[in-house]
Amino acid sequence: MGLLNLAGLAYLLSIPVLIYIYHFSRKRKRVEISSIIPWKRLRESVVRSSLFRADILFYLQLALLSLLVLAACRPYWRHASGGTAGRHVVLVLDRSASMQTVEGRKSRFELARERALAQLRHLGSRDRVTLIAAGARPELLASGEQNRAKVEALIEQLRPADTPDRMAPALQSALGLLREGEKAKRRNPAGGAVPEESSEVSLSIFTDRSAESLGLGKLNDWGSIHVERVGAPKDNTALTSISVYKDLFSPRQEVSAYVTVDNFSEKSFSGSLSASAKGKRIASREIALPPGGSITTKIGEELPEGLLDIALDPPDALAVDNKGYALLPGNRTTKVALFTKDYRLAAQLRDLAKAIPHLELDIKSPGSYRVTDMAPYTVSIFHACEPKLEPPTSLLLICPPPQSRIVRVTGNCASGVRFLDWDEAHPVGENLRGLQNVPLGGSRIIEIPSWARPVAISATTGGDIPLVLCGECRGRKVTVMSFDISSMELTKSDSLPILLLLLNILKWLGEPEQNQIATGEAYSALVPEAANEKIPESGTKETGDGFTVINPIGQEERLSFREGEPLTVNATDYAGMYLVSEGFTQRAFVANLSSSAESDLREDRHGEDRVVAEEVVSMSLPASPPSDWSSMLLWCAALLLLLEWIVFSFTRPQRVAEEEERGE
Amino acid sequence: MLTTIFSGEFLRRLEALCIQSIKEFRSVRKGDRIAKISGTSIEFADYRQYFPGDEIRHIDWNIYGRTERLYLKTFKEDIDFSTHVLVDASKSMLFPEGDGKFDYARKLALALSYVGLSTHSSVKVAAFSDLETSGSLSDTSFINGTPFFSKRSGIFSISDYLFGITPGGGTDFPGYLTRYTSLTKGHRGVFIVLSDFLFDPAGRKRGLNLLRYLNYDVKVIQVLGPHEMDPFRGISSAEVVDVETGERRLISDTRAIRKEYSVALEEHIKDLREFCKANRILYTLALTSREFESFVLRELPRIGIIK
Repeated sequence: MGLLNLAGLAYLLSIPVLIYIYHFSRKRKRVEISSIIPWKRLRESVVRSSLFRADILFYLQLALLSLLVLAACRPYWRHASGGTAGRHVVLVLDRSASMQTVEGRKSRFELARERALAQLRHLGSRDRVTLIAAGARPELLASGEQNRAKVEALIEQLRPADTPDRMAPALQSALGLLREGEKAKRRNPAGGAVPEESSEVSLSIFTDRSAESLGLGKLNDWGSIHVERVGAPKDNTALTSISVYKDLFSPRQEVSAYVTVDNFSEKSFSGSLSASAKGKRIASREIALPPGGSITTKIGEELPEGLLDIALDPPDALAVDNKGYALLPGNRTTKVALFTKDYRLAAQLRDLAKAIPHLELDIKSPGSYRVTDMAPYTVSIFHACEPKLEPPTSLLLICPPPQSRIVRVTGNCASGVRFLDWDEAHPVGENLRGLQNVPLGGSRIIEIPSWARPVAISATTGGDIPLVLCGECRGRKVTVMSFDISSMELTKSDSLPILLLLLNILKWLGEPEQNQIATGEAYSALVPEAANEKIPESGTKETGDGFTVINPIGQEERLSFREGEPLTVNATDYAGMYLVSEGFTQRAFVANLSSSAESDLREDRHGEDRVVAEEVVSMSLPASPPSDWSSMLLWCAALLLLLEWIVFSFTRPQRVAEEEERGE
Repeated sequence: MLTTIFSGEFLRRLEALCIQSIKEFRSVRKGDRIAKISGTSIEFADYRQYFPGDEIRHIDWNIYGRTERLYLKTFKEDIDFSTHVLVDASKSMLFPEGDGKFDYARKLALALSYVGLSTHSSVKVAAFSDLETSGSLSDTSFINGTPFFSKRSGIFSISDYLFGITPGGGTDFPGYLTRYTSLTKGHRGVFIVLSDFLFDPAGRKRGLNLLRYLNYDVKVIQVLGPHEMDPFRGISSAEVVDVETGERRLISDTRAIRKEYSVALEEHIKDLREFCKANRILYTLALTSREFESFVLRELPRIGIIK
């Protein structure tokens, strides 16, 4: 049995009042006796115990009061049908970065963990527990587990991550369980044994967010959902953004790091921002911020290649957002191999390469192509031809041959082709103003492959045809230009948009892999498929060795991936540098918290990370809420009142007679 | 006055009775009672052998003529002893209300006095309480009691005295007896105490022992009422107050309390009864619920207070 309104127990205080009335306020006759001597011999305990004399009316009134108090508490059966299945308790534990905030001597996560363990200790032996850790991704740590010790051990082992919280997916999963429980209860409203899946489900959420910010609104007072909030609003200053910029085509290839500091407090902030590399402080600057202020500043002038640690002092309640990491690239030269028979194109691109620093162009005839020779190159350009074995480089196909294996050429469009539209959001489509005015002449008609998307298209009488396709195919970046640029004079102003398009393509194909992510985000890197392998029927095949990831706290994880698909690291829960080893190739990337929502500890975060309110409402305002007995108890109380009146009426003459006899 | 209290028949039956004493008393005054000791009355007692020094005039010459032996003829002594009737006039005799303990006691005292006067015994009636010692009573005659009466007409004075008493105050039984006996020196005899004896057991023992030491023939009539024996009639929950000491106590009528009280009172009565039995004091319990004449004419002769 449970009570929906525990506050109703306060009415129990009325019972001592009733006893007081009976004990002290009862009219006592003063009787004069000849001597107290026999009375003195009475044992004190007997006298005391006899002073409070309860008659049947007292017991009826006591029962009446008890019924009313119980009705005020709104009791209900936890197992309406009296089945043997225990409760199913779903615990959702927020392990986002803000849970690391120190509250006195303990962190919010430790407080939440203690409360979760306390709730766990109150469960019965038949109760089942599902434990969901809500970090960047929901992790189902225990599902319907009856072994409480096991769940306790799991909770003890949990530690907060450095990720922003994504409570919504975890709550969706938990609410799904709740919904299933509710459906089962409706299917089996009363009577009969309760199957395990139809036992009562309750959800407890341990987080530093309010129910409103989670999208649960005021529903947390509903019996099945309970939001246990930990922590109080706090001031905080955080590094919310770290950007590394390097211009590939600038002569010096200078690297710049830009850091954004936000002051999430009502007080001014004064501190210092410092950058260290290889354990040495290389730059530092003072920062002063007004309440709620923000600043983005460049740190350091000549930053060295490698890992850069950025720290904000002085430390505050949340330490994880006072540190940031960046991987700075070194100077490098982009090597491009061009395979063409067209001397005009070769000449134009050679001139172009001369004008761009750190770009080396090797022009080769298609017949001289050897895949083994391609290792030093970053980008391979094939004009009107295609390699039999794809090089381990990024690939640009210009006017692919009709028998292309990489794309399917369905025909030619002889003339009248113009750019109609292009995707400015794609790096290849940036800054192409006036592209629609460039006459292209003819173009291949290419069927858009599954791995590519059109970045620029043209409309013809036969329909839209893609002019530029970009995508990732079998572990490498591939761009296909369906039109031929050999006839264009790229140095002339009329063809300037085409030149920019070409530069955009070269930049996109040649740019290094992304090495900086936000914690919780998946890291992916392209691993070109080995050229001498045949493409399997399924398109990909799993590698035997896989790759190894060492995270910032030193944990090593062995992961597998499929050739031709990006190498992906999902577990990026901690801020810092990750090392990825795949064969002889080593990669590194850094992860930073960089979340304003997570660092703002002042008040509730009402971000988009909320469960869908309609879904919660439809689920948690059930058609059959737990039926409490309060109305039944009130009816019983009314009957008892009637009974009391009858008893009083029957005993009144006797009482009056007694009183008269006593002379009262 | 007396006939309004007692019926003529009852008085006639009282006249046939006398106060019984288990002790022999020598008195300066001759009375109507024949003592076992030899005396000078005309009632023959016995014969005994003559010894030198005996009065010659008491020799029975007829026997000497027949047997030639000297025998003296002895006669019984006519004696007179005093009867002291002491009535408890403390306030406790008025309670519980309705029991009429004091009325019952003074009627008993009057009846016993009448019995005493009917046999020309000298009778003195007194009432005791601590009003005098506490200084709250100015009329000390109440405490001193009546004079000794030996004529039947004295009953009227005794009646006026008894019905003029308004009980009050507490009980100082041994203190009162000390003073009383010092005032009535030389009036040995029967001492009848009428009281509820609901006071300190040690005090009542001291008082009764004092009378024993002064060679009184002590007789005790404990007067209790039916409410005394069962005080819970009409009481469910009450504060009981001792009318003499003012002590009070909260009680409720429960089976346990009834039982405890009954045992306590029984022990109190038993204590007095056992004390009297051990010290050759006649004891009887007079319940006011019992019919008065029956008690006087049957119970008192049965136990030997009167015969």
